Amino acid sequence: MVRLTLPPPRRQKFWSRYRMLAVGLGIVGFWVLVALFAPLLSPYAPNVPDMSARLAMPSLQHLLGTDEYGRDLLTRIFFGARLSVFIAVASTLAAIAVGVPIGIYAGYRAGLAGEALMRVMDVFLAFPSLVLALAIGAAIGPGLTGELLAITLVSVPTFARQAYAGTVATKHLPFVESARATGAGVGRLIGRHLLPNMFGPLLVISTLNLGFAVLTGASLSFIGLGVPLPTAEWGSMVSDGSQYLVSGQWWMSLFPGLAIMTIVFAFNLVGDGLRDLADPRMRRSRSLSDAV
Amino acid sequence: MLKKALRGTVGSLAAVAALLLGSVSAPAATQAASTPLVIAYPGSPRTLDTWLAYDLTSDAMILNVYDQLITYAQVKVGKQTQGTLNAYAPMLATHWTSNADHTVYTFYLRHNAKFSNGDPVTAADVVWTYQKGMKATGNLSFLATEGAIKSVAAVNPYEVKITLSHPDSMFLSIIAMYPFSILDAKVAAKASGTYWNSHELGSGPYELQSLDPASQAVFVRNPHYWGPKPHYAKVILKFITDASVRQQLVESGGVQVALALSPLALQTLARSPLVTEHTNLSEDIVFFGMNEQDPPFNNELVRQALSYAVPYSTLIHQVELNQASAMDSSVPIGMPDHTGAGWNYSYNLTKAKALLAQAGHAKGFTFTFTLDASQPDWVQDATLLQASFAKLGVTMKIAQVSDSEYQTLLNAHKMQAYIEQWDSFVNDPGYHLGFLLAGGMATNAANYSNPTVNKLLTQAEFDPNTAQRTRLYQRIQTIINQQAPFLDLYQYKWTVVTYQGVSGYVFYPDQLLRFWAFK
Repeated sequence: MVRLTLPPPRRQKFWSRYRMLAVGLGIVGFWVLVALFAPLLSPYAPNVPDMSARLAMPSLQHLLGTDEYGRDLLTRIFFGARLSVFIAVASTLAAIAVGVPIGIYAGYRAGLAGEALMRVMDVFLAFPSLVLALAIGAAIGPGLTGELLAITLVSVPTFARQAYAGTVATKHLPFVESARATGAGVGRLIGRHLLPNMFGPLLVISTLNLGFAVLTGASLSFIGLGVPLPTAEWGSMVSDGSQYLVSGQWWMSLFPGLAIMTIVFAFNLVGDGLRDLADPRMRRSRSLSDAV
Repeated sequence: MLKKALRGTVGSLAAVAALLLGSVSAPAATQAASTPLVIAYPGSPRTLDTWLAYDLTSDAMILNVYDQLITYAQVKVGKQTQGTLNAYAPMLATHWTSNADHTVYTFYLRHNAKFSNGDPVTAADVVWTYQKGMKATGNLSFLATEGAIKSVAAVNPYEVKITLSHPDSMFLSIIAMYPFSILDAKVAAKASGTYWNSHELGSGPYELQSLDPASQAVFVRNPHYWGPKPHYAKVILKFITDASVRQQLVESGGVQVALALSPLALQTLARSPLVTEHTNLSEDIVFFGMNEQDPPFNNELVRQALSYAVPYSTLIHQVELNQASAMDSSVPIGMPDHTGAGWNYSYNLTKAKALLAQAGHAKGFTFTFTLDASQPDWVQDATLLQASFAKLGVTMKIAQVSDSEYQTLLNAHKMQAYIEQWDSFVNDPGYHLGFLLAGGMATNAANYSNPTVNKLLTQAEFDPNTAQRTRLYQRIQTIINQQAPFLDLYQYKWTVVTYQGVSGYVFYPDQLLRFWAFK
């Protein structure tokens, strides 16, 4: 006798297949909400010193302890989320705005100028991204503008290369040729036919870049190239706390470090999930494994 | 990334643990003379050239290998013996005389002094050394000018005559400093320009046996030394930049002496029964400078108002953890002729608000403060000052810059406000105020200029009468303290930590260790 089992309902199958994507989205969503509602979440001011509570251990009064100025760490982590999310989103959008047109231009025109542009992008890609960002940050100097510029500049080549590859792969496909034959202009070809076809890969790269941007921003702040005092920023909080590790105030570095870890981890989960979602081969292999 | 960082941290901790375990096996109860004395310094020497050296490690390495004509004397302060920069003792010169107006000094050299290569020390070496310094274009050649040295001549092989351009109260204090270390003229004249960056040849208690700038310097006793044999036959300086590693090494006996530790490290070490902290008030001051060419800091009332908004006690007790002391003048406590007259500031926001209103800034103002971010305690000072000034409606925007950028801005007098540290090379109020606050000086980054102060400083420099000079310097301080060109934040203490079994440490206000004193 053969027992037939019914396939799981479609929604349940989606979540079991993409649960890591869901976890990632959940964590990112949590930090976005924290960033939006930071002033409502804590009774403390993030930047006002209270030397009577200096270096207090985690307790009911200060759940994650206080720093060397007696400022509540949880409050500063909440406010730090605003900056980290802003830096990640702003630098990624700026990198897309610069990198994608460069890649499309170089891929579509395929002339000397396009080649030169892509070789410049290759030179940027040849350097380790973090080292390059630190060098650019150091050259520009401390501050939010410098931090954003540094992260944007090292992210641009990734988007340019992706857009270039997408353009080169698509521009001679029959549907593009047909559109061109019917008199479509360059703007229409790019806007209606090339860009939509590279949207999936760009979305994946953008999400992964968000994690990179948070980490790079924190690294820049760690070495003093971030936002000015007394703004709460996760990287500078880890840096400040590192001076107190030997003397036993472990909470000052640990909790902002965990905040950085969770959001970077979450962005990576989302990026990986979106890649799986966009890749038909991944979908097929998962279907096969589900069947087995 | 986190995993990598964690792995790095664990690796560092393991390395430290290995160092500590290796060192614990050494007997620590009493330190035998045959056991080397190991001292942890915060950095390697930049140069051993006596006329160029300008850092804690280089200066100490020079001072323990070379002799000067005279040296700073030791005095009893309570039960403690310590060095003073205001009295002098014989060194290569057994005694000295001067003419009536103190413009010609004759130094009589000891006959048994020899360099570590066996060459005798003669007047020719002294003349060669001084003339080299007077002609040098390096960092410290200005000291010869500061000491008013006009000419140096050998009267005979053991007598040197130094003529000054005018009577100068700083002369003896200056020639006791390490730049005036006597070199072996026969060897030094033949050596190439950079040779002395990494070599030493002196007549002092120790000679440099080896130097690896990346890790350590080893000193052994100078076999030809004319004075009492130092207790330790060998002294090793370990160059350890990480303050927490220095802390852990001295706590475990891995090194016997450690210096330049953070206030937090000293607070932790104070609980250890195995180490002793030797703390003295230094003359190293920290102040908040305000550029007087940049409104509103050209207004004396604004500067006074901010002087009343400094949380002095918090900075000293909470940031410096009592490793600093309150100031009451722009001249540090301990420097001759110091007075607190005219300095009436305490943390009083009501008074500060009233003065701001009187200055026409009742609603406050905004200014940019440049911070040398390499100094962790200044970062804390700045954050607390920012919060305190905010209560007056004054917005202090903090611009963090690197150490090198800060120095460039400081030298250009381009900062609106800044925190700076100053430890006068010469223990004299004329030198101290002349460099910091005399109009037009390259080191006067606050651009403070008061014609009366300038006139009185010149008058005091040339006045041979000690009592009159004291009166002049105290009058200058009263004017400066009232006008508040700086917010005088605090005066650092200087702490040296020794492991059990090591004694004999003698504090000198120049903060340089005399290795020969340790027992």
